[in-house]
Amino acid sequence: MSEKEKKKNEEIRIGFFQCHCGVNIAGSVDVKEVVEYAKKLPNVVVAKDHMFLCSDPGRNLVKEAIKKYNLNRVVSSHCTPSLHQETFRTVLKEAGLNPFFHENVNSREHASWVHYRDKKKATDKVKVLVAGGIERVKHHKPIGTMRLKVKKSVLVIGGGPAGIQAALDLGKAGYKVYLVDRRPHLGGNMARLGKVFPTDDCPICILGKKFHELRQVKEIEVITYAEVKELSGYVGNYKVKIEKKPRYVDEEKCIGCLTCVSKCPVRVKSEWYEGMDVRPAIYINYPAQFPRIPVRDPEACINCGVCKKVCPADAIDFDQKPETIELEVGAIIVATGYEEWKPYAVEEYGYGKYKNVITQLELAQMLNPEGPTHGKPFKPSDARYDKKKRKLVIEGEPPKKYVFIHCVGSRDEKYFSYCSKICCMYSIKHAKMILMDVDPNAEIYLCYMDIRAFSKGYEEYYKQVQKLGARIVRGKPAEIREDPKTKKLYVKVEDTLLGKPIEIEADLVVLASTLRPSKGTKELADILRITTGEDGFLRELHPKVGPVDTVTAGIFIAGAASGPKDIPESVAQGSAAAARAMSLLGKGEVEIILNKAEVNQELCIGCGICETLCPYGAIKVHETHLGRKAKVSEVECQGCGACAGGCPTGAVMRRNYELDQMFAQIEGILRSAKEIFKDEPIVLAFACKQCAYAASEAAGTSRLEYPPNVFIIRIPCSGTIDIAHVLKAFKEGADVVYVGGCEPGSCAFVDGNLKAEKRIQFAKRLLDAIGIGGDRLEIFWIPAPESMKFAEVAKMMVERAKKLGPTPLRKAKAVKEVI
Amino acid sequence: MILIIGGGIAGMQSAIEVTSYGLEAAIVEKSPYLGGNANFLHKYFPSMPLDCSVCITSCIDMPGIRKCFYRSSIFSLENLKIYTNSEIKEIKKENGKFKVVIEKLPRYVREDRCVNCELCKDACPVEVEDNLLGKRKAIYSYPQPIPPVYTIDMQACNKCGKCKEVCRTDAIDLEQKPEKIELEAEAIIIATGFEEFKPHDMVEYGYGTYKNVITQLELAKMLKQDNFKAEKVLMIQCVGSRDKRFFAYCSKICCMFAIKHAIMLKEKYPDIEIYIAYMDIRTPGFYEYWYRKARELGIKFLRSRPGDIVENNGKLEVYFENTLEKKVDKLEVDYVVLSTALIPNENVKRLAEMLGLELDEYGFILSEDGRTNVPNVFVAGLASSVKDVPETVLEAVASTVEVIK
Repeated sequence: MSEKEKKKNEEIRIGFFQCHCGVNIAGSVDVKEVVEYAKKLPNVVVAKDHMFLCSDPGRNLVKEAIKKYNLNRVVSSHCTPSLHQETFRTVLKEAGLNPFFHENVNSREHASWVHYRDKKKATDKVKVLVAGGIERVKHHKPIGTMRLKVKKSVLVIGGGPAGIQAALDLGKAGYKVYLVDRRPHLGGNMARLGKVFPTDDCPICILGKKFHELRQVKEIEVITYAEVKELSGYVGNYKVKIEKKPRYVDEEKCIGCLTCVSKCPVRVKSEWYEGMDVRPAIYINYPAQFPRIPVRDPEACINCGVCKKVCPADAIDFDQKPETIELEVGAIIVATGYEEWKPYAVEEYGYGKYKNVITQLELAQMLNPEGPTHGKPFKPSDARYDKKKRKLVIEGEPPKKYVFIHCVGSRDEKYFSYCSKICCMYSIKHAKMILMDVDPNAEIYLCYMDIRAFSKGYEEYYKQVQKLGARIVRGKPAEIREDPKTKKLYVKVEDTLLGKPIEIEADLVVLASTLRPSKGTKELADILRITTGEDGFLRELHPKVGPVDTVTAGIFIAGAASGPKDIPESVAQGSAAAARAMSLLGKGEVEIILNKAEVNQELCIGCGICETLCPYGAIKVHETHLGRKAKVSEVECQGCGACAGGCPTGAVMRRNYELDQMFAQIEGILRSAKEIFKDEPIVLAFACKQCAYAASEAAGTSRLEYPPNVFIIRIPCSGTIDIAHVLKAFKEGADVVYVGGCEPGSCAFVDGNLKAEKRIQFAKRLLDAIGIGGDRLEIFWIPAPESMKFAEVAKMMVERAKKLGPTPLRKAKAVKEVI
Repeated sequence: MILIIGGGIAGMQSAIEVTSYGLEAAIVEKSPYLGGNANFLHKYFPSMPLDCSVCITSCIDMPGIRKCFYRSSIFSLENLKIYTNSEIKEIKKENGKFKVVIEKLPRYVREDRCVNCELCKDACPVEVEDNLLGKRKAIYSYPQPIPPVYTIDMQACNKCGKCKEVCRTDAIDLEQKPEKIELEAEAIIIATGFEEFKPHDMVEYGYGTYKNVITQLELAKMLKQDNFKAEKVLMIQCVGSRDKRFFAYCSKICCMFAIKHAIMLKEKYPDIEIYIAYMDIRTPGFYEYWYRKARELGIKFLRSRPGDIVENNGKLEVYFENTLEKKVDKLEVDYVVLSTALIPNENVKRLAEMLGLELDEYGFILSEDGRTNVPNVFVAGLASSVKDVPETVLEAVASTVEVIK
């Protein structure tokens, strides 16, 4: 060690703090022993423990120690960084240090909770992790912040009840709002219903009132028939590209007289009415729609030009082209809603095969007073399109006997394991509508598993329909058979309360099918860089305390896009998202922490590899007076570190995950592990904090055990991984190394995981070539909820380490040490 | 100034939201610490993994932090005043504003001086039973309390003065008197929360007669104190709720509540046998996962509404009809846990009279989008209907919009 380095090291004064977390840590880790161990490590000036380090007295302990011992680095060992790293960074800030002079050792999720049966091993593991943290913090550097002005405008995607509510709340508070809908009009699925539970209001009346308000508020700009295509920028300053599809009717000129609609000679199936009704080639979906401007379907149109002739306002324009609109907004609210799953796959119910088996949303269309039959249910086998009259004709008796089947596709392992939440209630609502408005003598059977009528007034609603005479059968039908002649249906079901199978004759069988996120949700989530869950719905930041926030700052979600919800809940979410957006934008500026990429100008050779790696175009090579050098745009950089991992000279670094910091942590962990775990195999894991690390947290909370000789290092994205990290790990004595990343397609930074995979494949070949063996290195996809998989992988890799034995490097060193 | 009545989750969330817009607010809480019923719960559904209730109750939202939010930083909100141990005595409407008189009961410890150092606790010779903390001293505080100060339970205190001797900041004041505070508020948010229905009237279950027939909230407290020991447990759903004799409505969260407790017990004691007697299991939406997990763990679900419980040699014999197997059966268990109806806080009635609020037949406050029939009076949380924590938080956030308007 040179004199200069020595001096530098001497100046570093580290404080170490171990939390008991009640008995959560202290119950299975000997905290005093850890503290004693930490005390002996170089540069550690003070080491203490506390019952609850995150409490006020605990934080004061740290604060006072910083002052008393003149500390300039702090390592705290408690729960996982995603819980309390921010807490202690703030403590440092309050004590006058840069928050990034802190390092968090995870002694709860990674030790006390997963190795609770073996106190000795759990304590040993904490010691090793602490050694790594203390070694690492020596190399920490201060990281600054930056304040940015925000735009006081919001984009709301989706014009259903949630989106409308959010737009109105924001608009009335004086924010500029762009309300975008993919359909040619607003209203969402709500506009397709005849009544809404539990008040039995008419949804069109409620929506009509809301549309009126939308017209009144000048700040709101409604953009229909448009989709979000591209997003750039950052919180407070997003740039959004929206593609507006041609509707072939000039929105400025059209006066909404609908003459064109009535004169159009073409008839095709209407998507809005689930194919049960027909519509012209130039059409509106429902009479009260907003905006009341028709749209032309160019595929159905026969180009006769009648509409053009009859239009009094000369609004029809066959030459309209798609239009790209660019918006600048401070925040985005996603309220894209749900769609009904078409249960073709549930073969036993014969949907798609038997005409008289329909879904609840299709029944809703029949019961809709504005629907094809003005609120009268019919048997689709009786319906016929009359070419002369150009309309739907129903021949035959209206249905008398109905069977409703709940939970079709939902709560079913074969399809979707979640419950669709509102199907019980809308099935009950439809039964009530038929019995009250259509036919009081109708026979309606509801075949259910559990009736879920749980909110205010819902139980009473359920009681009403029972009084009206609906028959409630507890049982899931096994099969539906059709009499091909009469088209009558026979439903076989075991009534589990009577305990015997029964067969119910029915004219119409209605399936309460699963609610799915609306089409394109995944694509939109990718554009907006927010995450979806396994079930395909958008994922909120936290189901309890962050129900409308997402992982991306400034982007909020509302309504059924994050899971099935009823209208009151969706509206409340719309309001909540608006409130969150307001509190973000109200201050006029946001603070961003610059824990992002940085380029060492001396080392940069201007090769431009980083430029190709960055998914956000945030790093670019420029001509400077020193030659070609890369430069990072700090506002656009998302901090994934993909550029750093691929830089051939180590010039690009992700701040706080710089090479020397990573090396120090690897060295600290492995040196101490060799000393404490002696001959046992040593496995080192690099875990992406979005998924694999989150899975390790979940493994901790679920107390899933895995061998204690697996040490986990947290990285911002698997794409941060550098081959140098891996080689360093082997050099320092790791027997097996693995990387945990997100599944392909779900990387929070577009495709960091795939970049990591390439690097790991290359490193495997390299390891083969130098005699260590590529088998000792792996990459796994471990999604955040899969704590079991995390534990399995850890076990498997330890087994592999045992099978392969120590690496040649470790063997050689061991021999050397003996000599 | 916005007055928030009740310092549970809804009240605290409302306080955080309202103050984030730069408005002044005050929370009035009748018990000595904030947190409300959440203090009594051990873990929360539905997040995976279950969150610790202590972390949530003292939270504030900060970007980048996923689960536990800043503890006790609700305390550092500059525009927020917190009155604990306080009750509303009078509310009058004058010139469009509310004149409110609150009475702050003595805690016998000066809030401005106490530093929560625990010396007094160690010195106190009196030990009493507490339904939340188990055994505690006459001078006590909660884990992670807000405000972070001690309180003397005068009913238990023997006035020996030992705490006073050891206190180094001279915070103990045994002579403290109730204090009257007058406030002027522009708007009021009522967040008085819920109570658990105590089914003394339901003779068939013998609640209050048999020691081992308890309610879910009582079980939560026992789990928190870690003193629940049993080999066989039966949980009965819909006790008092969905029942014409008592409360016709569904209490919404009891299914999840019971399943959560069953899972927690099963994970801790894998050999425990747990039965849940139900009418319908209501785990809507993604909560279905918990129902599935419970079945996978071997928790048994009986579709039935037990008819009678008899105590026999320290065991409880439960007679019930299994409506799926269609037979009357008997089960011998150590504990029966009743998932009883959740009902509005008793103080709601008094507040309603003072303010002229409309209540529904069960005593919940009638509201629309958080607004009540009285202008500038809003409601958040379980005071208007039964909700789970996510909905409570959501409603608190959403009603802020109304308040600001």
